[in-house]
Amino acid sequence: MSFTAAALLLAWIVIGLLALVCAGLVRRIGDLATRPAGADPAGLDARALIGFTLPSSGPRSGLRPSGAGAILFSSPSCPACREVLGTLATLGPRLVVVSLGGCDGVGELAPGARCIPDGGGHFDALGVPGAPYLFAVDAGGTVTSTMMPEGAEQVTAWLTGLTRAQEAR
Amino acid sequence: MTTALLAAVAALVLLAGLAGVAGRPGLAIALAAHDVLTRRAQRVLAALVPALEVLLGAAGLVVAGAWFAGARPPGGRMAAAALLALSAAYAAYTLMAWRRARASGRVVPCGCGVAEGLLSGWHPARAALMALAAAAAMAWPGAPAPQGSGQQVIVLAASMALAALLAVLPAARAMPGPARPGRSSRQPGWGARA
Repeated sequence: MSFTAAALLLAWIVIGLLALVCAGLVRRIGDLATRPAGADPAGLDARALIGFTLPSSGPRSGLRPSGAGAILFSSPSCPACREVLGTLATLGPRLVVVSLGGCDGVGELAPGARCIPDGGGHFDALGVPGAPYLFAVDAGGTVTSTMMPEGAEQVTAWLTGLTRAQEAR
Repeated sequence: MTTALLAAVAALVLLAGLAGVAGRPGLAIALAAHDVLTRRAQRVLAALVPALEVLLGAAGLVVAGAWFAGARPPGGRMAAAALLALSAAYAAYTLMAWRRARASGRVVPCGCGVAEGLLSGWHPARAALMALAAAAAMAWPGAPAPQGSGQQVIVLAASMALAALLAVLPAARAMPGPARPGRSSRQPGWGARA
């Protein structure tokens, strides 16, 4: 193959990659443009918190579970949240529940779990888009994964993976 | 032109390695979140991979530089083969981690060192492209060689453009916003903010 032919071939490969990158960026711009006004004003996405270490002092320090565990963002008026809470009950004190309202029923469904009432500020500060929403947190307080479950079986699979990962450490 | 391909792959690998060697904890956190390997394997890989990346990336750039200057160093094919093996391993691992995370509904970081972001199907795709580029460099080392400064400029520009595009490809294709937009309308009760 001559140099010119090889250069032309490589140029088209680069153009193809450039098209993919541009299409992705245009899609992102379109998504930002169509977001409702006032929604997510800080532009914060809870997924961006993966790798973030929760502070050990200050207003967010209460979010850290004791040891490696999970944080469940919940709402009293959400039946799915109660289902998730029951599934995560095995975590005991390693589960922190952040509730948009009160903490009634949390102790019965997940004995040992710590509940933070009226936690709307935590939802906003961390960019949590809804309830139920889950953070996996390691022993050092670092967020290792996040999930907005679509069903109970997904929570069970998530908990199995979380437990397996923590047992391996 | 395979000089440009090798240089682009080597530059990406070197940058990722330098980020790890500089002490960024991204790889260790990502390996833990992927939950594919045992904790001991995660620790070993988090310590070894950045050093290996620096070594292979630097070797690849040295070989590409030699090809660029018209020389044919004896270990050229070996350096390209090592980068091919590393890229293929990236592709296999990231595909496994992505499929595992997707199956359990988790969102996990990529731990790629360059243009860090959330793991998506574009990470194994990028690694596969890097493996193809390294394979071409191994099959046709330094061919066709640039003749004169004009062709050398083309090789330099092509390698830089390719490296930059491969670096940003997964991040550019990632979609911001809620993990699964619209799910609350499909399944009321799950994912709806009360």
